[in-house]
Amino acid sequence: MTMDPMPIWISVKTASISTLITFFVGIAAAYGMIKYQGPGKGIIDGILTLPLVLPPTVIGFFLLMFFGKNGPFGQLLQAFDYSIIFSWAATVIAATTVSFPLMYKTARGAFEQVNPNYLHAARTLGADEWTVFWQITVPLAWPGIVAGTILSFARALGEFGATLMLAGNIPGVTQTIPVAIFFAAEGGEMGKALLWVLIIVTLSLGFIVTLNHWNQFQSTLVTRFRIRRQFQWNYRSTSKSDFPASISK
Amino acid sequence: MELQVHIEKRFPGFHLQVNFTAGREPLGLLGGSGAGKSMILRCIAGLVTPDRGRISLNGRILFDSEQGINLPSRERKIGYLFQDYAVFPHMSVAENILFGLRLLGLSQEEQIQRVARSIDQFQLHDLENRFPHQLSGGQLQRVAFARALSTEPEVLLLDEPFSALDHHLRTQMETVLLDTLRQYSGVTLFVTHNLEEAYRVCNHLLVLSRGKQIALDEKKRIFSHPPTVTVAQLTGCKNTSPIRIAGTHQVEALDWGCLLTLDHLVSPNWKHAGIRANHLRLVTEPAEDHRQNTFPCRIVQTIESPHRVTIRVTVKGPTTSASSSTLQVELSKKEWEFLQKEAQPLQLEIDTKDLFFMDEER
Repeated sequence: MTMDPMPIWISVKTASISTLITFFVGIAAAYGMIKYQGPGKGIIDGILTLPLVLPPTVIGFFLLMFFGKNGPFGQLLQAFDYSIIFSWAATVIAATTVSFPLMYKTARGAFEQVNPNYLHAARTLGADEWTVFWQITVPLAWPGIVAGTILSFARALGEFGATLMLAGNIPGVTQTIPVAIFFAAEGGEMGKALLWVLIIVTLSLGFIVTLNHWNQFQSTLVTRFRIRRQFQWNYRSTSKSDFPASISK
Repeated sequence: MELQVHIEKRFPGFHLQVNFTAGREPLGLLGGSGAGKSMILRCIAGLVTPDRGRISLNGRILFDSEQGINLPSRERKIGYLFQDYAVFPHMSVAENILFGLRLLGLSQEEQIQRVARSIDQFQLHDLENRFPHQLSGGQLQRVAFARALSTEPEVLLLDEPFSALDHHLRTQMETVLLDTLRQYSGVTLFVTHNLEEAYRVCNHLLVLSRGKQIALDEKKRIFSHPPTVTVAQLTGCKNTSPIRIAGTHQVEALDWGCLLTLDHLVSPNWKHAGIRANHLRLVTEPAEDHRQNTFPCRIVQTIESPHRVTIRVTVKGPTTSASSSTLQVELSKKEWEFLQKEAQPLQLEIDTKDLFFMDEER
């Protein structure tokens, strides 16, 4: 039994890139929705959450309609002689779409948990919205943001239905591990399928355990990194001043 | 130093409407919960936008609905002490104090010096690198205080700063507050529902009830002559009664069931009378000059506090009925123990000098 390791590389690459996109877009959407007080808030939230509840094949169908030859975006790309369907980019689009709601929902929940008085206090102390967001909201919502990232990555790594519909099963190009498992099992190669299953279980578990550890480390260190670093630097640059020595600890 | 506030804000079931000016002296905002005290502070700080009106600080317009001015909080130069302190949990004490200073664009040396000064002033030595979860309530409060004053704001807004502290710490922090306010040259607004605290800290009081300002005056005047029954009750007066004018020098207190003889003329506008519990006295023998306003009474209940005793009594007399409400008399424990030794029935003495009269509610 010979195995092509390409699906591992494609899966990891796809999940990583889509998590990167989801991270920023999801946080932006979450923050935007908290700020947004206009009409249709409930409906917009519903649409943003929809990929979580719809069957992946339905997402795949919508994506096909949008990116396909006759879809609005597909036609636009066709003018440049480019097609997304059945390309590696399609696996990223599919994974991003299905994992987005997890990041959006978790980040939004985390933002809403932040005591608004912290934000009020920062504003009265002279902080603009950008400073409030990066120095107060994000550090305080950080555990939630990390949780959202983990969930998004895990979901992207396991994505099957929408990927198959939009990207197909092209070995070496769009064949991710879940797709490889399906076709191996369908073709009667149960041993091969099992091997892929073990690989993806190991990958997912390893990723989650690593991130959990990193997060614990993170929550005591990195969330304060910006401020702490600048503060100590301040101290060193004026170390001859009469400032209490205990501050240098 | 002057803060002018004339604003209106509507919520479902709540209508805030205030108009006042605060100067160098701390102004206390007194009122029950839900009276709109904190809302006023939020409007001044720019955290809530009023529907209408104008807020100006030392000639600077912070908010004006007609001119369409609404400065963001960060440009208002306001120090806000939150009820829950809101000390940033992910920053150390020093970083919390530094937060506002870093945004002022001061030199690093200046920043460090000012943090050091705050730490000195609020006795936060050795706590600089602690995080909020490692601090006690009183320490957290001092950090919040230091942080609010670090940027040298023109107004200091104190939102029930002591409500989360126990009695002992409260007294300590009040001393810190009074010391700080003495050195502070800006405007101070002090929100509280504790009238004794308000009385000790502030010279002028603004009394609020359901979003309306029902009294604004010097504290002594508000306590000695509350303009309405609500103000009387909010300032801790336990005894009020509607009255009927019975003569040029006589009024009948309907709830208390007694006829009071005054040594000054009755005004036709008076609708209610009030007297504070600590101004009432229980005697065994009427004093010569109070004979007219001393009434036989029956003790309904006694409630002991650590140092004082509250006695609820009803007046016995021709006009009293079972529906007559009780009056509260507050005595020191010593006085009460002394009275209990006397076997004679007790009489209630109402000194008309301490009696005040109120017009109809506005």
